[in-house]
This record gives sequence, structure tokens and C-alpha cells, in this order.
Amino acid sequence: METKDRPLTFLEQVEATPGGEHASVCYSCGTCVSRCLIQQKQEPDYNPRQLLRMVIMNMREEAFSSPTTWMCSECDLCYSTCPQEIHISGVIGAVKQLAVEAGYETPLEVVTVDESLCSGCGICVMTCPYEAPHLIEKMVDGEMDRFSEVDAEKCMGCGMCVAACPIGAIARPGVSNAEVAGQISIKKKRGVPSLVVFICDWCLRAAEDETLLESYPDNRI
Amino acid sequence: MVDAARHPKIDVRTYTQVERVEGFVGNFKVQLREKARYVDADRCNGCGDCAKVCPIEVPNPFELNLAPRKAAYISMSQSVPLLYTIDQDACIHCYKCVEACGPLDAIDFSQEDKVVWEDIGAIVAATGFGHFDPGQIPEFGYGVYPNVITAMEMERLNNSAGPTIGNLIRPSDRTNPKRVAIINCVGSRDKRFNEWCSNFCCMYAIKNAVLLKQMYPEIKLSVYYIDIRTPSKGYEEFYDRARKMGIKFIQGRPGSITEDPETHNLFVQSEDMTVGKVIEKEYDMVMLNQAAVPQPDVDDVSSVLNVQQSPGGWFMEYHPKLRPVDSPTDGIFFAGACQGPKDIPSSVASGSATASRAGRILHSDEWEIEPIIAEVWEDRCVMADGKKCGICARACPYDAITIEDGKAAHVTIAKCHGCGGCVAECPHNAITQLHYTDAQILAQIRALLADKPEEKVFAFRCHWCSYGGADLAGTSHFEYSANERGIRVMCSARMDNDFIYEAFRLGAGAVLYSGCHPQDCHYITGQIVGAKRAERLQKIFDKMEMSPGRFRIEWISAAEGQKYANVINDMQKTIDEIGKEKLLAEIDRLKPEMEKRARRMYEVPNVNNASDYSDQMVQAITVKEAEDGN
Repeated sequence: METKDRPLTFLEQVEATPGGEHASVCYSCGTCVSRCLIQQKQEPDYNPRQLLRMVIMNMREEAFSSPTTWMCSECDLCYSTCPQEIHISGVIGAVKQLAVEAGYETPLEVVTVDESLCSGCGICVMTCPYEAPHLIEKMVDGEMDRFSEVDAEKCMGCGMCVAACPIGAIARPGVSNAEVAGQISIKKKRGVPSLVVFICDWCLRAAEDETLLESYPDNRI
Repeated sequence: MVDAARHPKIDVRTYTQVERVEGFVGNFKVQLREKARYVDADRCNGCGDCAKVCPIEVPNPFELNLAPRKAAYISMSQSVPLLYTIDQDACIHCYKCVEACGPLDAIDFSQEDKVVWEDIGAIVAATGFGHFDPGQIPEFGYGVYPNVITAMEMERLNNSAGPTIGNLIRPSDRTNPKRVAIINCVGSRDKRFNEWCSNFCCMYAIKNAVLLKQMYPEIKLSVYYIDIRTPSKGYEEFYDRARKMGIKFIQGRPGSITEDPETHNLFVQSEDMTVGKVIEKEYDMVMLNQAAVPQPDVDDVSSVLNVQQSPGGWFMEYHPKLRPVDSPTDGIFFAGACQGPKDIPSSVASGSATASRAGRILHSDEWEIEPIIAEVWEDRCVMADGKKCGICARACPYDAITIEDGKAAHVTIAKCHGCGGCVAECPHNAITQLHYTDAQILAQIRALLADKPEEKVFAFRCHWCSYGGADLAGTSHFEYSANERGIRVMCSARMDNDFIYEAFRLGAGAVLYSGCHPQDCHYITGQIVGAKRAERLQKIFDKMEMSPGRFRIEWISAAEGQKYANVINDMQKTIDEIGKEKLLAEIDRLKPEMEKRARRMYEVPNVNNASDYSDQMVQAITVKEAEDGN
């Protein structure tokens, strides 16, 4: 139908945003939800099917405030199994972009850059899987200087840049270099030989929670 | 089946392949290959002594390889006719069967395939459907986890004539499963594999669940579904009965199945959509309700029968609503699921329908066909002068034109459906189509372009699709440019180069070449013939440096009224953007070239008479309008 005489609906807006093209073909089978690690390991209210439904039903405000909009890590486990071949993370990205344009802010913990340390080397820009950091130039004490700036709406808080930064200029609340080092030293103080295991928040921690708990030696941290 | 075999007027030919089909409605000649069974059909009484002594065992495809069969075998216990066959791929020629057969002497290793030709009046294809291989979906683990089975395997496992004599066991440890999951839409409603809904699986899942529940009242059954479709009489009531029996229906397509490697129990992860949560449930056995797909050899059969396939590979009917069991070729019909997934009642209905359609042919001495057939002017055909040509025969989707050196092309009128492809393709204008002659179409073009042609958007539309699209645009009140003028031909294959040249010569502002989408063409490959020609024309016009957009090719279905309106509006915009002065200059510049290219058409009989007639008509209208003061 002709759309020129009326404003676009939310669904049309999403479909007009890159990534959101095929949102309307979703027939709500739930395959994506049952594949989703975030839903199962992190946030029970996270539900890509319901977000797509909100898009189809033009529920703009509900979609913008849904955790689904903000938490997708674009792992695309759902994409390979979707029977309608919808690029679900693309649709979620499109909703997120519209939410940002509408002034919504991410509820996630994002990284911060300490400008007094940042040398503007750009390693973080190359490392980030979400293209969140970029280099900016600004005047400091009368001289042009380069800094990294992180786009908070794109950052998913994975911490790859924190680890990659050669000077330690980037930090994420909870897992900054200092905090992790502190955790390690506390465990060491127990005086027994320790096995330090670094585990990813998504898969291994969940695995540890569910099944491997008993099989760990007592001195695990 | 036994009744059919005993019927005096039914001749059942099993183990026989149709290799060639020639001729036309009421007069088909069919080449059959009667494959060698190595058993004399007149002597074998089906006692099975040969199978008893046969030492060779091979997997039995009828039992989905769940059980073995001998090298001397019948495909199933209810085989009609009850004749044993010796599988030469497996036979080791020990001749124990010959000994066992004894005085009957039915086994004959010297038998060979027999090729016979039969005269046939009408053909019914009832080749059925095949099954989707769920191994293509890695997340369901079919072929990896032993207790994930297909619906057909389940069918054999709980069949009292099956390999387990009706005792449902799970393949890993041969115990009776206590918890069984049925997953629907495996490979159907899935754009990665088959987009269609397989029609009967919902009811099939419910039937299987009810059957298992009746056999094993303690069994726990869950059916995973996207939507449950129960559209026929009594179906919804049956679904209701299944729910009352305690069968769980879970709305949510499982995303993965995992296995406990020790017990081989299965964990099915899915979202329970009604509560919006992911659930993981443990089962002893999972049945995948796989999609119905066309038979693996459907392409070969369709080329033997010269019938068209729908997207996906099913045989395509003449018209989905009005002629649902007819093929586009007269005298060939489709029964059952070879045409698309059908359940038993619909298959029986379509079988009965084909029987009566075929009966009409067998009882007629004469057969009426559409009068729009092609005719050859023998004196114009260059084949008659001994030259090589045959372009018409290559364009014909129905194989209706026969060519022979030294003779004019011959149209078998009973096979001609009147697409007009040969007429337009013939470079010597030696063929005409009754009721769509060059002269008639030309007269229409001239009449429609008589007044201010440079303002007109001239559309060639095919009868089945783009004409329907234009019609729909009208009935739906989609607005499009009032400068549109269109004529209808049967198929885009009839849209002769000459017509397009003539339209431009007469000064048409823009010309639309429109027809069906390739898979929708009602003349099998007519659209392809038309599309090739249109592309050639586009290149010619590009070389002439015609403004882009004045000649446009669009495939518009009868359901795409909006598209038709958009295309016409777009073309109007193109004309407006070029501007009248520039357009008139271009028309004048190209006129001699167009005239040169269309000149052959003026030699066609009656073309000039028809043109004179249309000129007179136009003149009369103009005079009348002048008198009326318009």
C-alpha cells in the first residue's frame, strides 16, 4: 500500500532500518528463544520472539524498554536455526538504533576511558567486536590530541578492549584490571596452593553453576 | 488393490517404468520397460519358498532398513500381484531358490527387461510424495542420536505387520519408551528447506499420539508444534479428544535436542510460548514429523510426461482452483500427493476426479479444444524449400510442432494450447495463431495509438497474469495513469518483436512487455521464450540509444494489482521526465529504424487489410468526435 500520506508505523520503521528488513515474516515459533544463551543463563525476561512480536504489533515503548533490545550479543546462534531465515540480531540491532534515536539509554555496564592515560593508539578500535570505540581529536592545553571514545549504546561490556589496552586506560565497572587483580590476591592469601580459573560469564560460569560444582577441588575460586 | 487387480478391465503393471510418452490426448503412445523379475509371472504362486531358502539378507527399504529382507523378495506382505522378485544386486547365484521352487519352475535367470509400446487414451500420474531427510537439520541430531526417529520409522515400529510386530521399542536398548516427544514441522514451514506446510502432519501427529496412548496408557506424550492445523470435518474434535486423553501439546518449535550419552535419553529444549519460558524436558524417544517433499525422481517423470513443476518440484496443475487435477497437457491428470501434500480424503477425492476426467476422454470420439491454435502457411515456411530452420519447434512448450527436412512445419492441433510462441518466434512470419493473428493485433495497436501516441504508455499483457494484474488494479481502485493503453495476448511468448517495433514506429511514448513470473507461466515454458526475446529487444533498443525506461519488461502476477499500477505510474513519470519535445525528436529519429525492422510483418497476409480497416475506424471516430465538438 502507499505509505506517503501517513507516518511510518513502528514495524515499517524497523523494516526500513538496516538489519530489520524481514521482521514481519516471524510466525512466533520460539526456536530463537530456545537457542538463546542470554535467556537461559542471564536474564529470564530476555525473549527475542516477544521482541519481534512487539515490533509486529507496533508496541514501540514496550520494545524500547525491553531488556532484549539492549542485551543481544549478536552471537547469531538463533539465526542459523530460524525457519523463517530472519536475521534476529539484525532486527534487534535495528530496534536498538531506533531506541537510541528516541533517547533511550542502555541499562548495561559499559566501559569508560581514562583520558589522562589514553594515548590514542587505536588498539581498542581494532579489538572491539561491536565497533563501539572510535578515535576523536580534541584540544587539550592548546594542543591537538587523540583519544579513544566509547559509544555507550554500542558497547556490550565484554571487556576485550580492557584486556587489549596496553596502558590500562579502559575499565569496566566490576572487572577493571585492578579489581580482578584484587580478587586474585585475596584468594592467594588463604595460604594454600590455588588453582586460578578464569571463566567466561556466559558459558563456563553457567556450566559451573549447573553441573561441575561438585567435581571442583575445594581450593577453586 | 486386490480388487483393482482382479477387475477384468484393469491391467496392473508393476515393476514397470514409463520411459517415453508420445502422441496427444486420446492417442498417446507410451513406451514401458517391464523390468526383469527373474521369476515367471505365470508360474509363481507366491508361496515364498524361494525366500525361505535364500541365504542372502539385505536391508529392507519398505521397513526403512529397520529389518532385513532376502535377495528373493516381495516388497511387502500385501504385494499385488503376489510375485517374488530376485534382486540381482544382492543375489550370489547359489540357485537354492531354483531347487526350492521345484516342479513349479517359476524362477528364470535368463529373463530380460521387456520394452513394449502401448496405445493409451489418457494418463493419470499418481506418483505420490517422498520424505524429507531430517539429518539435514543438525540441531535435531537425527542419525546421530539413536532414539531420534522419523515418523515413517515410528509407523513401522508400531505396526503389527512391522519388524517388531507392533511392539514399540527404542532403537538404543530395545526397551519400551515411557516418554515420547513428537516434533512437528521438521523441514516444512522452514525457508531453509521447504517453505510449504505439509498439510497432514498435524493430524498425523495427533493420530500417532492417540494410537500410542491407546496401546500404552501409561506413556507420556508431548507434541511440539508451531500451529496446530485441523481444518477438515471432525479434525478439531479429534484434537480435542487427544487433549482429553492427557497428551501434552506444547506450542514452541524446539531449538535443539541433546542426548545423555550413557542412557541415550534425549533432552528437548524449546520455548513454551504460552508462558514465555524456555523448558527442557527429558524423553526416551523423539519422533520427527518430517516434511512431505516431491519424489526424488520427480524431475525425470515430469520430463517424460512433459508436464510442468510448481516451485518446490510438485507437478503443476492447469489451474489451482478451476482445473485442479488437469495437467497443462490435455489428457494427462494428477491424482494424490504428486501435486502437493494431500491427506487421505483429498487424495481419494482427487483420484476419483481424475478417473472421471480421464473417462470423459475414453468415451469421446471427438475432443473439443480451444480454437486459438497455431497454423502454418506452408508456402511461407522455409523448411518446405529444403532450408534448415525449426525455430518454431524449439519454441513450443508442448512438443506440438514436428519438423521434417523438405517439408513445412506441421502443428499437431490436439497438442497446441495457443500460447503463440511459435508465431512470434518464426522469423519468416510463416505461422499464425487463430484469433490472435498479426493482422488482428496490429489493428489493435494502430487503433490505440492513433491519437497523440507520444503520450501513451502502451502495455502488452499476457492473458493469465499481467492482464489479471491490470484487472485487479482496476477492481481494487489502485490509481494509475489514464494514458495507459493495453492489449491482451495469451502469453508473453506471443509478443512479437514486430509488435513492439510497430508500437514505437507509431510513436508510443513507452512500451511495457509484461507476463507471468517464470514459475507461474500457464504454457510451461512460454514465459521463458518471451523473456529471452524481451531481453534481446532491450539490447537492441539500448544500441539505438533509446531513452532508458521507454521499453520496460515486468513480470506481474494476477495478484499484483498494486505492482501493475506502480509500473504504469513509473513509466508515465519516465515519459514526463524526458519531456515532450525531446521525446518527439527521439521518436522521429528512431522511426526509420523501427520501420525497417518491422517491414517483414507487412508481408503477412491480411495485415494491410486489417490496418486499412483500423485506419478507417480511427478516422470515423475522429470525425465523429469533431462533429460532437470534442
